Amino acid sequence: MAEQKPVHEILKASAENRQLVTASLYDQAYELKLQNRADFRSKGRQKKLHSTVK
Amino acid sequence: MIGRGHQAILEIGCGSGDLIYAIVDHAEKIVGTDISAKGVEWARNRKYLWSLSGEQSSKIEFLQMSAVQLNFPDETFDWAISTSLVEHLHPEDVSIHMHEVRRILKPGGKYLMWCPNRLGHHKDRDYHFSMLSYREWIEKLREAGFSGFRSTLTSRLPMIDAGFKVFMEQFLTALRIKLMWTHWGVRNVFLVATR
Repeated sequence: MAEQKPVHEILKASAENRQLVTASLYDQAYELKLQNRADFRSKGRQKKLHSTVK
Repeated sequence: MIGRGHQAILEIGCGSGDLIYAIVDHAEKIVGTDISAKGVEWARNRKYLWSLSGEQSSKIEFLQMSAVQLNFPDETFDWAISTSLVEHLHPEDVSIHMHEVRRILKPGGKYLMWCPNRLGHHKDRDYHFSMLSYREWIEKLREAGFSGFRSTLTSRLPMIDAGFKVFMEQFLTALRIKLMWTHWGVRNVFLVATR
């Protein structure tokens, strides 16, 4: 059986609910994207600091 | 291509808002919409990355809004733009979106859309529900009342009749050629339609 991903909720949603479901999922996607960016920058800073200390 | 001196330009599904900031001098009012409140917040927060004057900043507005219910009066915008948006729409919403865009455009206004081409050898993406070809997108736009379909000759200017891209995608598909789609500008769909 194919894996059910959260995004499939958009396809399953009724026409009335679709925009709300979509907005909620894209909110989560943006949040994850921004978190990943912040983590990436934080790791970069740690690396830089580490190499400076060395 | 869009040129300057317009009254109002709308970007639907603006994401980071970078395009909005980049074309701030092209119109008196530049509006970016996104279905996600987080996306709109992100776009607003990226203002600090652009050295904008007070006048430039005052032209820009970001609003949370669905692409299938554009809360603007009829005939508000000279241009509407969407990049990587229409492929995310539910198949049932594509036609509604097209009609909404036509409604908010002034007569003679243009809709510039960019998205992956269904025939362009893209791997499936989770959020892409409406993958269509040049021919299919033109058909959807025509059904909504658009005409005068233009695209780029290859992946760059000059602009030509979009019928050439329909020919190219069918030609490359018929010959089962998988190379050069990007160079011919058919791997992705780039269309300008006139209201």
